[in-house]
Amino acid sequence: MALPLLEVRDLRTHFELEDGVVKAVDGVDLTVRRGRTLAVVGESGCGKSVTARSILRLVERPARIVGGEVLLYGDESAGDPEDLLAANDRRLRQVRWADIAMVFQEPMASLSLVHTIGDQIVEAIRLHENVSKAVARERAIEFLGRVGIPDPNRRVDSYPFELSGGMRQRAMIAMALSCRPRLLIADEPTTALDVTTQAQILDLLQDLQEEFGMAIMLITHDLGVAAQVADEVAVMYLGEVVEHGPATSVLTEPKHPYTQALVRSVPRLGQRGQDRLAAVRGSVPPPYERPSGCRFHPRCDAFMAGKCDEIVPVRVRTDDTDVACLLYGEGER
Amino acid sequence: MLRFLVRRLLWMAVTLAAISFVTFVVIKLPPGDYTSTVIANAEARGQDIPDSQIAELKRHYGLDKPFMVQYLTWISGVVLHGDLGQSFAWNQSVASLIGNRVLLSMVLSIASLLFVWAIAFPIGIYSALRQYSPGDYVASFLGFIGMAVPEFMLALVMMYVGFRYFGQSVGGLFSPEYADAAWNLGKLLDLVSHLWVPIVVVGVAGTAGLIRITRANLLDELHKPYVATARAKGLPEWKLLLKYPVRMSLSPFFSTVGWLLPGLISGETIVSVVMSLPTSGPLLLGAVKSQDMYLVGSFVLILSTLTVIGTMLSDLALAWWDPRIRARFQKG
Repeated sequence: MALPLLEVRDLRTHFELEDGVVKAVDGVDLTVRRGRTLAVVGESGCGKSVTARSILRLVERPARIVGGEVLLYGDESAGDPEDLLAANDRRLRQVRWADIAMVFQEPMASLSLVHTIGDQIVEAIRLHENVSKAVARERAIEFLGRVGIPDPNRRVDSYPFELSGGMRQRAMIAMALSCRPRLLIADEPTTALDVTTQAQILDLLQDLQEEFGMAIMLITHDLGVAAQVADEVAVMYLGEVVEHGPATSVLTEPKHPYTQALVRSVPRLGQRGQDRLAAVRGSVPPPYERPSGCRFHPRCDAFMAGKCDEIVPVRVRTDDTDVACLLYGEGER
Repeated sequence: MLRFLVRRLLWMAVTLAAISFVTFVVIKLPPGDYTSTVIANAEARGQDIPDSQIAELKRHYGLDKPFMVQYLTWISGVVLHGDLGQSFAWNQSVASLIGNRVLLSMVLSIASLLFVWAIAFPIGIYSALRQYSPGDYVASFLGFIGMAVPEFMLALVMMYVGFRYFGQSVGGLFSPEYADAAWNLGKLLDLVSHLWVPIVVVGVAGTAGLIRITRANLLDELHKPYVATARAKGLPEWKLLLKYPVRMSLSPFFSTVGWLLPGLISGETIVSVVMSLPTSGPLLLGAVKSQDMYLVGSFVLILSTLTVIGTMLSDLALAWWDPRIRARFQKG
């Protein structure tokens, strides 16, 4: 198994609102391995995006990272990993984009509309490398070509509003790769795109991963997307990772009742029309009141009274997967 | 782009023609004409003007001719010879009458405009970036006071303070000893020492308003995803804020900058009256009161021209500033 590149340990990011504290991310543990793809899946509001943003400390008020560690490992020869949450601002700015780059959900809103694409890519390159404008521009053109933008010599001077959604996301990916990061965090990169474009972008990401050997952390609500590209999958529910393991195991033999319900809820081609599509029972509880014990217990089919609502499950290794569920292990009161 | 410009210029000509006509109609709407003012003045002095003399006056000023003839005579003079006509009350050509004052008006207006920008932009940006900080609250508080206090009130207070504590001559732009002197260094310094009072008075309300606008515009942009992207790229905070959200937040400002042009010569009327500044505002006010029709007509025509040109300039400025607008102009 490949060595870890990034380890998130007990990450806690809370929104301190006037009406109370929303614990959007509350004890997340994740591992991204070198050159591999980790998909983080879960329903809307489970804390996937906040987790991704917390890694680079991009959360803004009223959100605040209140605890945990984000450990970035250096080269194989290098010693101990570095905790990004403890790094000073200067060091953090060096890590941003040079080591860890991000692609966001909406390509239209994530690029500045009043600066050319070239200007925005050149800026990223020159922030982290001491190269001339001409060299940086050459590299920008090279990367735009690499992500499949036709006529990159001309497109480098285009503004984002002159491109289609798919092309914009390609430009965003070119920008993310421009400093050859070791980890690319892609936060729902295909959600705003149509299905054909979505498939193209996912293929592109996989090709680029092979070429540059970077790791990818893919945030998605779409299990199909996760199945297509992920080596490993982490399933999040209410600010916690409930299951974390190899994609084949998690998606074909899910252990946690929540993952099982999620997998059942994906429609399949050939499914008989009169069958009702299975959905996860109930709905996400209100943000200020987290259920006691296992947070999933009010919606769980395997609910054990007197146990699940009192004991907080601890993640245990079952086969090759880590699961936080009392069916598989003990917990803490 | 050229086609766009030509079309805009043609529309400007049509707009101005329409405005000049409507202006003339409006001036002629109230009952009576300039002779009514002459008669009223004479009666106030206890004199009586015979009807024959009034008819003579009307003929002299061309007031006996039909409306359309009066309009066409005036407008053809303006268009063909650049002649704005005569002011009845001042017995001078309108051009020389206005010209004297327009320069001072523009000096005052441009100076207060720069004052407003220099103060409002940094404070507005600071207020947005440090929303709900003590500094933001202080700026908002002072801003609301600035908007709420009427200018004439502020003018009176400043004049009192200037006179009482700094021994300055009250009102006007020059001390008595320089009023009729030729321009020299002393007169210039005297002007500067007087000018700051009206600049502050005129600028306070504008500053307060612009602080609020800058703050609101910037707050709209600060949490957009492209700002997060810039931050993720590792840009230092102040640099990225100035390059991305601040730049975006200035677009609405550019679309209104053209409206400032007519304000340059007509604004600040009340302040000018209170502080007896020899600017153009009070002149226009007086001309309207005495139905000095060519003076009023020319004034309104000049203001309209400036408005139309200003709108055009602000469109061009916006196109220069914002590539999205530029792209739209190039298409159409």
